[in-house]
Amino acid sequence: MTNKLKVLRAEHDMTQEDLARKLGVSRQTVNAIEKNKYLPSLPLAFKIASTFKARIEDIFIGQ
Amino acid sequence: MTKCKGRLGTTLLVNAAVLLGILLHSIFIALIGVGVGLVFLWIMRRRTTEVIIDERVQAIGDKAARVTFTYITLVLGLTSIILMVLSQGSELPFTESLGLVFAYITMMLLLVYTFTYKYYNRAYGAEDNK
Repeated sequence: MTNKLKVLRAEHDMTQEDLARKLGVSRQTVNAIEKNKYLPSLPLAFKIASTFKARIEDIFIGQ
Repeated sequence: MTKCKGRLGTTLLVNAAVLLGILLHSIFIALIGVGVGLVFLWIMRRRTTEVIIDERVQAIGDKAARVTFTYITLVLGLTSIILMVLSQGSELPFTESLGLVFAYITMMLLLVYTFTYKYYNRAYGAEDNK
């Protein structure tokens, strides 16, 4: 499983800290998701999708 | 001072207070140390705005707890068997008693695990299809 979180974050000119604050998680969690070291829960994935106004399957790509 | 250093400092302070309490045979010193530590942690928590505990931290905690439970239970169970076997024909005192205590602790751990597993299994909808 890969994701486009880093690209989307850059497109929206957000730091990991900004995104973490918006999602209500720690900066380390955002970093771990970006590096594919941690898979977010479904509620968090929905939150990420709604933050970037995108669909979950457009952000998270299964292999 | 970062939060991590603050927590480490508080832990060291509480440990030092408890050690001093033991050395001076005074429970009040230990209690005061623990009390000051709790107040310090409470103040730190109130001043903190950054998210420290989230789903990733909880997932890590869950995994760490599972690994700890598995190894502790395994080691305790095996130690209890070894101690009880060694106690047969051994002159060492308390070997069998210690083995029995370890066996009871292992059984208690497994019992608590079974009940909590059943509880959470039901809480997360295992019986909903019936």
